[in-house]
Amino acid sequence: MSSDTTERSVRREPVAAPEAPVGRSTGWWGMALFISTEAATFAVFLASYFYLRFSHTSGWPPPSEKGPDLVLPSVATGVLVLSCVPMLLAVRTTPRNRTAASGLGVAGAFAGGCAFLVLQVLDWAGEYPSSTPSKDAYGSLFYVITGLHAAHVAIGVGMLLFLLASLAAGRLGRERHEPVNLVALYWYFMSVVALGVYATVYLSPYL
Amino acid sequence: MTATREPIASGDVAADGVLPERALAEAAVGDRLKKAWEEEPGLIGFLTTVNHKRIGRRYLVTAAFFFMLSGISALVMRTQLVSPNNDIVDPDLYDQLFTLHGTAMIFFFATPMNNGFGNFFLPLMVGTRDMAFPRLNALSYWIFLFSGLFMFASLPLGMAPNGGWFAYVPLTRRIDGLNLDFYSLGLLFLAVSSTVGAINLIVTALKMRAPGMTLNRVPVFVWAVVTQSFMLVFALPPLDVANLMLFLDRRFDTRFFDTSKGGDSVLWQHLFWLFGHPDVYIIVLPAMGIISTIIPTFARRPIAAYPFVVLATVATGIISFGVWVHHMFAVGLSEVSQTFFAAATLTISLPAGIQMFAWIATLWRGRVVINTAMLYALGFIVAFVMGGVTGVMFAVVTFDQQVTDSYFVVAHFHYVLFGGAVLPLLGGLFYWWPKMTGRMVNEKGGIWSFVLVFAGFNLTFFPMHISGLLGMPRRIYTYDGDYGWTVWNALSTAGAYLLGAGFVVTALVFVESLLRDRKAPDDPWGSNTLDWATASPPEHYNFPVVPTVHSLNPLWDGRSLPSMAEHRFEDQRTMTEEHMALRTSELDARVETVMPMPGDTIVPLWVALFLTAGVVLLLVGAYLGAAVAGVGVAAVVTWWLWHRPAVE
Repeated sequence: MSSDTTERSVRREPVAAPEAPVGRSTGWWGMALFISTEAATFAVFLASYFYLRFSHTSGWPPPSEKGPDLVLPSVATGVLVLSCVPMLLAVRTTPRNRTAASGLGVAGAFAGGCAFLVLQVLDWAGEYPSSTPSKDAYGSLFYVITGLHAAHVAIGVGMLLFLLASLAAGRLGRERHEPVNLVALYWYFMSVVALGVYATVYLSPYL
Repeated sequence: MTATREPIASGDVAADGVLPERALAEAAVGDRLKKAWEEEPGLIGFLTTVNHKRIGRRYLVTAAFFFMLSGISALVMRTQLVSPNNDIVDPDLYDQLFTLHGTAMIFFFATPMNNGFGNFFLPLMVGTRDMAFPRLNALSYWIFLFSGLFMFASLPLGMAPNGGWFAYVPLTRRIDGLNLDFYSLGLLFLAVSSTVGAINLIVTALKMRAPGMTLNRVPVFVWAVVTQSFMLVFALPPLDVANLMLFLDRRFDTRFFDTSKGGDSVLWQHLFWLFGHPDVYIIVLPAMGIISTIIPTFARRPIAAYPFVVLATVATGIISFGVWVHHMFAVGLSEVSQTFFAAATLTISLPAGIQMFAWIATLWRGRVVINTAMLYALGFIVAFVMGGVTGVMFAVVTFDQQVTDSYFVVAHFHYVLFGGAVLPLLGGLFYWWPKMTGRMVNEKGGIWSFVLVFAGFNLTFFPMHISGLLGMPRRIYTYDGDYGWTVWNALSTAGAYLLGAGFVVTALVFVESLLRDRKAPDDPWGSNTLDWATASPPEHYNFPVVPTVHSLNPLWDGRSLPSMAEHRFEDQRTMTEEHMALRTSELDARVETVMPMPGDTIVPLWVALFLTAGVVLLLVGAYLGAAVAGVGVAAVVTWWLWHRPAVE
């Protein structure tokens, strides 16, 4: 057995300090990997969109479809992307114990998410019934891709609500702010997906 | 570097079998840790445990149970095919049997069995006390169990999936009944478990390695499990998307695969095989990791060319995403894409070859000790080379087009999957049995197990090469006597029964070991990895003192093991007050902090039960009920997140 005491005292690590530890948390990695698998899911859906589009010989959108309306989805996507700004505010202020500011930030992102969902439903209402999920592959792609994304945004809105409750209960602050960072990661990711969906489902039929 | 300790001959029990370094560490902190890591006993404890070893063991037992069911369905098929124009089962039942056999063996046996070993041994090998997310770990087990029961429940109901394990549209879009809904929903449900489990294993390996275990000291098995988990993270989405589209097409009349309405049936094949080919390596890579664990131990030397073995493992994972079209050479795709994928398919044989030569070099330069685990490892090398050679043949497009959908393909993938996964998994069972149960197995019985299984395996699957080349298509339920296939089918059936006998003997060997009291020492084989520095079976907290890792072979370097005794009075290495584990940096494994870990809880079981209810309600078409179950899941998950392990 080695009795190299000098080396041992040199290698001895400091006992964990009570303030924020260095390095990424396990939760950060968990969220990053979850986002990776979700990103792959959306990538596969968008790839399927183009696969079906380019194997479709009679034009795209198909002659029986009028093509997507652009006004509502443009506003919706813009609102969702802009809602990243208050989210960022919450990420910055929570570790500094500025609870009111971080509450405002989370509430801003929450409002942006809700507005997006309402606009998305209005957009579907405008497309239906001239285009339906069972009319043709174009309609299936349109509703299922936008629906999948909206479902993810709805889950994100639930996460934001959870953060608001945690802030109200005084459970987030200097000692504990990782949940805000993780939800923010997911929220930014939702905006990235929104841009991908917008470019694919709404803009690309006009190209 | 040479081994400093010789293996103890099996059955020859040392005085008390405890490593002196661990004995010192246990004496210092063992009692306090036992209290901190105590779990509820009895049935409550069974339902609420989050201990990675209990969950890992459960994965192994459950996967073995599903293996037995799928194996029996294979025996029924082989009995049907023993002679021409047999009528033991009707064609409809036969369709269900071969579909369920393939689906279950791939999804509910091979992947979860690997997950069981990963769950049990990855935390032990990296020197930590639990998985990164213990409660998620329990959740992924419960989902695996319930999705497996869901899938198998379809057979007694007469509604088992019947479109082949790759469920090609347009056929599967049109089959009436719930058969294909069991398939798509069951696989989507299982995917939750696989994804969560994969993320858990990756984070554990990245953030919880013992101090000093830099990336170049990570055991090959851990590399293999991490590579496999990354593959699952990226390969499951195409399968999920395909199954979601299939479910929507069947139930809600969407048109993804409806060619008359702008859909495309080849889309299913692309999506399925974009998952399906990586899946071959998802199954085989961890099994190869087991081989890379067994061979150095019984060759009594470190693995040869460690960096190349690791690079080959990772390269296999990456390249496997670029070869899926070789499953589709008969579809009629463009020649350019066929050529590209033929080349990629040839390329992927290179990393497999590198690993093969590394194992041979390890054996060559070592002093080989033969026992059951080692026999299975050697059997794997032979069988996997055979399966690999026929695999390279499929890269030749013209040959592939001749034998596609014939028994030649069946022979090939059974050599790859049985030879490449089942044999290593059996080897792993024999190798780790003493660690998991604290009992030694009867060596003579183990050798009988190997001889029968290996002989039965070859007798079953080798003749299929020939019947395939003679033109026998896969998935036919019977054949005429004058096709010249009779003798080869009879041989295969005889082999299947021999193989079945081999598994009965194997099971008896393990049962005998449990009944006898041949206590296993801490480290019966004189191994090189940290898992053997724990008790047999390990205590709940695994390591009384988290060691410092000084090399790739910590139990052979003469420094890592003593570090357990040296650090026994350091709070950061013993963490005795609470349920805690050490968090270290991703690349260099430097200590970052001490993490509080959650204790046992019933919540994961509730989440899994609500999800099961949701899936069953979707199956029967009660969509409103399924939505209610979804709300239930959200409520329980919210409760779960609110009650996190205390900080400080």
